[in-house]
Amino acid sequence: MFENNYLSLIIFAPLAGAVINWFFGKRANSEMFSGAVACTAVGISTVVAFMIAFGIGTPHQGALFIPEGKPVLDHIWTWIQVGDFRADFGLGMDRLSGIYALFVTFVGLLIHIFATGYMHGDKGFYRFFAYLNLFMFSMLTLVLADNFLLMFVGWEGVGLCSYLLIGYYINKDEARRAAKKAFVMNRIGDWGVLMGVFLIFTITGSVSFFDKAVDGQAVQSVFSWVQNSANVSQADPFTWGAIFAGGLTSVGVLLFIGATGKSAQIPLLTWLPDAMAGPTPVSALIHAATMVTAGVYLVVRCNSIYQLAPTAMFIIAVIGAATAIFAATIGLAQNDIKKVLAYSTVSQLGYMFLACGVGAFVAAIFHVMTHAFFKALLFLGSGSVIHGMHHEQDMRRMGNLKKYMPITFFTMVTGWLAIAGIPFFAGFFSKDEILYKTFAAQGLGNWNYFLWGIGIVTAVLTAVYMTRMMVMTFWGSERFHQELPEEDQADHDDDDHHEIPADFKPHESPWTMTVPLVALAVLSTFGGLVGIPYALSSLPVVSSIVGEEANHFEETLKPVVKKLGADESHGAESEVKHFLAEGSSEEAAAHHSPEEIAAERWLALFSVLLAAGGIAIGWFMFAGNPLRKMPKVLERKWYLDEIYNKAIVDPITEGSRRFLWKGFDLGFIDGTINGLGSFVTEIGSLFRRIQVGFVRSYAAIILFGALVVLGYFIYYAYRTIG
Amino acid sequence: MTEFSLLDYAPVLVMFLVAIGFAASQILVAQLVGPRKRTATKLMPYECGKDPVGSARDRFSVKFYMVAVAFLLFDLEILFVIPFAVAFKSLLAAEQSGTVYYGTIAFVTMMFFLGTVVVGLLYEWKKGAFDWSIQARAEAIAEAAELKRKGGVFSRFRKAA
Amino acid sequence: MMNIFLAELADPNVSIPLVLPEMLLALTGILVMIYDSIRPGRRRVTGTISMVGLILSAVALFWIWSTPGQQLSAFGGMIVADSLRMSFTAVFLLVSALTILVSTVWVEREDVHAGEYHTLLLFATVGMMFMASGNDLVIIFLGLETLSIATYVMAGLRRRDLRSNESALKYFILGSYASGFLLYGMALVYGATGTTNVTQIALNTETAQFPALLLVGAAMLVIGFGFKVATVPFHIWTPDVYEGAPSPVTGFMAAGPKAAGFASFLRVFVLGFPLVVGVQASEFLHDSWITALTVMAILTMTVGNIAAIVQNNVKRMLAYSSIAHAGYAMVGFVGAGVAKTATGRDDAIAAVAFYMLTYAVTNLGAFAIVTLVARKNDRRTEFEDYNGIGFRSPVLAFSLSLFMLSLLGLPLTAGFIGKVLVFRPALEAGTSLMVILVVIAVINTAISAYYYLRLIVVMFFRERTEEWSQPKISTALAAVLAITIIGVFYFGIFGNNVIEMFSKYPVDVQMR
Repeated sequence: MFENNYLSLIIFAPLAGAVINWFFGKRANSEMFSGAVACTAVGISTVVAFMIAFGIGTPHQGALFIPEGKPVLDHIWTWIQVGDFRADFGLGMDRLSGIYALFVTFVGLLIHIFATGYMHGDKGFYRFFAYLNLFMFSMLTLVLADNFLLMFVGWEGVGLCSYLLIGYYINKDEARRAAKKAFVMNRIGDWGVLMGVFLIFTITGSVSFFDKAVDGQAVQSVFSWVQNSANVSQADPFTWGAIFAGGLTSVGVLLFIGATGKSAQIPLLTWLPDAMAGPTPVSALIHAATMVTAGVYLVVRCNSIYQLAPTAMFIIAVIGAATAIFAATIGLAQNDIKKVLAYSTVSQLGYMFLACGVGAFVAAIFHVMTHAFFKALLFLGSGSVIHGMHHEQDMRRMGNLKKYMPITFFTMVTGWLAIAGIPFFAGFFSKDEILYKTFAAQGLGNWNYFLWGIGIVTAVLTAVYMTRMMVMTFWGSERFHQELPEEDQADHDDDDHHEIPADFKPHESPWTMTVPLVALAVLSTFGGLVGIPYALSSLPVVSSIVGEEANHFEETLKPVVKKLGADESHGAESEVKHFLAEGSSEEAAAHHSPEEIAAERWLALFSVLLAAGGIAIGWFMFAGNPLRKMPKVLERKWYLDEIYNKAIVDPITEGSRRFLWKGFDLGFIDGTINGLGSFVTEIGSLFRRIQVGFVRSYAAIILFGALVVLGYFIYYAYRTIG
Repeated sequence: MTEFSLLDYAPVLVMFLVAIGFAASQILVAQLVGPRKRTATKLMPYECGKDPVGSARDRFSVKFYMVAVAFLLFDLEILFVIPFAVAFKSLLAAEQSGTVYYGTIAFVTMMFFLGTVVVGLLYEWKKGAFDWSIQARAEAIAEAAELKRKGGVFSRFRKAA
Repeated sequence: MMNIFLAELADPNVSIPLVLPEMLLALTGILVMIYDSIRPGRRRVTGTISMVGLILSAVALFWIWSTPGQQLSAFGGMIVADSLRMSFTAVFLLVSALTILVSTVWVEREDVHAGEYHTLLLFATVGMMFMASGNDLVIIFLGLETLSIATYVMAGLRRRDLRSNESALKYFILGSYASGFLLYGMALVYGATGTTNVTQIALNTETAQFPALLLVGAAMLVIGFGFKVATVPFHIWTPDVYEGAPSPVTGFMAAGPKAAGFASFLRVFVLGFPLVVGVQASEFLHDSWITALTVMAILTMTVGNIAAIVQNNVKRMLAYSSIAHAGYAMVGFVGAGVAKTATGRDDAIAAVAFYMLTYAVTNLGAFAIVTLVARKNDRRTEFEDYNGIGFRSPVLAFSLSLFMLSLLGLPLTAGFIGKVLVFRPALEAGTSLMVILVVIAVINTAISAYYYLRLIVVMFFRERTEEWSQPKISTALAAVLAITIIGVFYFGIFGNNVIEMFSKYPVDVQMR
């Protein structure tokens, strides 16, 4: 067991930053001070995270290299211990959380720097950074927690911070509604997580992620219980009934309900696009790069549970694919630059869940990481555009911005190519791997081809809408004074919208904003090279540059997602071989059959063609006519909000008002009891009705309840005698 | 146990007789000695209380309740004292023959209890629960103060002069 | 004759230390009462004496708590010193102390007769303490009545306010009604088992003369205690009474008497009517009360939560929320009932005590702010009155938000740990009934987000139309806020220390 007490520094540095900004920020009243505190705090986290992950200056190996994926632990204090139930306030960095911690801190740092430029001149500057730091604290707690309960702390914490930050522009009605929606939808998901954790505890008797010894007491982890061969052989069958059986499948489904809330999957997806009402750095940090991928983290962390729960896996795969294509279609028709990116995020998250669902957990995490790079880049780029355009977000009023904002333009081009899946940009490798793994997945009947088909269509759509966005924003004619159709005016009627002066010229953003853009652009371009699949790295051309076994990413994560017993396998058989592959390239080659390698290569080529085709379609459709009218149903997001309101929200509020309050408190008491006739003498005056209760009515209710309870006990008494 | 004998219950009979005698003597003495003025008020059954005939929903003065409650409380306390008094001797005897201080415990407990009752009485007294004329007195004092403020009882005359 | 009498004398087993906390507090109550009658109207002095009394009582309590090898029961088994008593008593003392501090504002604003108020509060606390320490139905009933009568009066302390009068009268009438059930139940249980001692009742179930009588008695007890802790359908008095009573008293009633109700409810049912395998009467009794309480818990939290959603008055919302919280606490209660081992049972009891502690701290904090915002005569208690105060009175608004989040059960706050702890024992039992109970409880916590959040939204996002004059936060109130905020975090983050303390002296009743 490896201990490193500096681990807690990663989470507590941002917390300290938040506290300092909260208490002294207003008094200091200096953007320099607030920004410096916040960035330094995250900077410390970043440095420490890198040091521990790579073992720089630490007494032990880097967390990413410790054999068998053992974690670096930091037991801070015992949080709760009652009976067998033990949850520590302890952190653990293994390979999975190490990767997460690395990109969360690093991308977070860049976005913090960007925000110092973007939020310049805002009244609540210190407050904003306090929230942002608090978010970093929660997110890192989520990622580094060494047990489910502490992870839930982070889980709720990021939800709360997201709520605070979405509602940051408190004067905007839209922001207020979006914030509340996000919180309530997340709460629905959180119910699933909490139930899942409880259920895990009842099944395994533990909530810990890692085997460890605390206070001289050995703590067995959830996963080593699950991986215990006796339990592996009792994997749940692939039936719908397993969902309600209270076994591991139920756990899987419950946790996934939580994941749908946090990661905006069907059916809990509508909050994320609305959340764009928050400041753009927030959208980049929380609603693209980090928080929304928490659901993927949860699923991958529990991969050994999911491996024994094929039904849950199947549900995840289907929901992921459905979300991916559903959100992509909506993304086609949005005019708000941030809304396009939001739907794109939802769609990409769908990809990640698709990967999890077919058992390609490594691919999912790989995509999480590359997505964090290019989506953060795209969001920050859009923020830069919005900044340059004086808070105009409607793409119909942009155009030809490449002339005015060259740095933003070039960096966004890399992001665009990355998300579209053009080779050697980061997105290509991860997306291609997901598609291939879906195609090669087994145990799904023929569903895998169907899912793969959806993935392919989504890939094309992605390329199309991203091209549309780029074309509308950076190419074509300048439409800064374009009149918008009547119906859209209302949506944009908020305080932040300034009328654009007649001689308006957009301007490039300051260095604090462009430097992070450039850094992210570099990552979006080269970040994918850590995980080149064997099929590609063994190509002569490639291997001469990067070496044959270049999939460092998969190598790293191998111990975390090790395949459980071979017989009740679901997911890709070929995965097993991947996972079993150890060390040298000969062995690796031995486990990659030539047919598979060929198939993977062909599929890669196919998806490259699709991406290029998508870009071409987008270009030809929109380059000439950027304001092309899109189908109304897509623009209105398939009327999902309306459906939810009519079908769920209205009935609940109405129901509780009509039935429970008016019906129970007023109607039942005043009506039923008083309605007995002679009992009532002075009913009728509205005043009394509102004043609710007569004591006698209350007494009657109590008597009624008493009779029920007595009757029940007497029934039992009767049974005792008889 | 001894044989049943009616004579054992003689004290009860004596108590009844005393009670009846006391009540009768009181009424008799009042009839004989008391002065008589036949006004309407004096002829009512409860001279200083409520009219016994009339609407039952009249408002009572809250003072009646106060007295009733106080009476009930202190009356009930006796209920606790009697068993103690009856058992005390045997408890003392038990204390002398055994190791447990039955008598002392009982005595201390009872004294504590009575002390509490006395405190309650003091409290009632201080709060003015037994004082029927608080309001009248307060009104009189207020009136006097008012007059004084206006310059005394004779100010009118002074002005006239 | 003398000898027969002696033979029946039981050892009185007097132990002053064991009732020292209660005695000290009762004496303080009497002292305050006398002082107030001699020199009326000195709020600060009576308040200070009361606080000193509470602190002394707490010191005595911790002295018993930390003295090893002290005796566990005294007065012929009528008073016990186990962790059930200790932990709940600590809750009561904290609640009373906070209530005195909270009410300073209100007492001064409305010119209430503070001496009487403090006396009543202390007597109510003594009653609560006896409800927790009594191991005998008679003591429990005495404690309950001492508590009830004091609270009836406290509810009506705003003599010239019609709502307050109404509240007190309703509480009094319905409370006496419920006490009737309770007393009847105790009588029936006595009739069936021949004893009023809870420990003895558990032993006597096997030889119970009339098992049917025992069951009906238990039903009556459920009704009586159910009224005290406000479970559906015996909750019906709560909203009216809570709304009408003065805010600090409402806070007190939701935290203190409710916890006291749980203390004796737990003792009588979990320890008095345990499952004794092989004894038919006991099996039936246990099965029936567990099922009844499970159903009541489900109803209680669901009705409480859904009714809270539509309220427009903050006090009424908190009243319904307190009903819902009673439902959550009952999950732990039932969990204690179905526990298979004595340690499991004791852990569950400690969990319920801890839950009441967290709820008390959070709730009193919230009521402190409600009191402050309400102004004279409790006028401003509607949601609208909180519109947009977020950045005008940030301290108030953020503290209130914190309390709402804790009631909601957000991790790192006290409410979360409380909920986890009370849900755990029920889950550990693993029967499908218990699983359903916990599932519904967790769904309910999700629903409750809606209305707790509404207050936060109102404070931070609504425009204020009326003008807002920031209320002055007095020293006492600042102390309350400091204690409650620290409490919310301390119990949420370092709650383990408290739980260890709460399960130090296992209940002296073995499982059979």
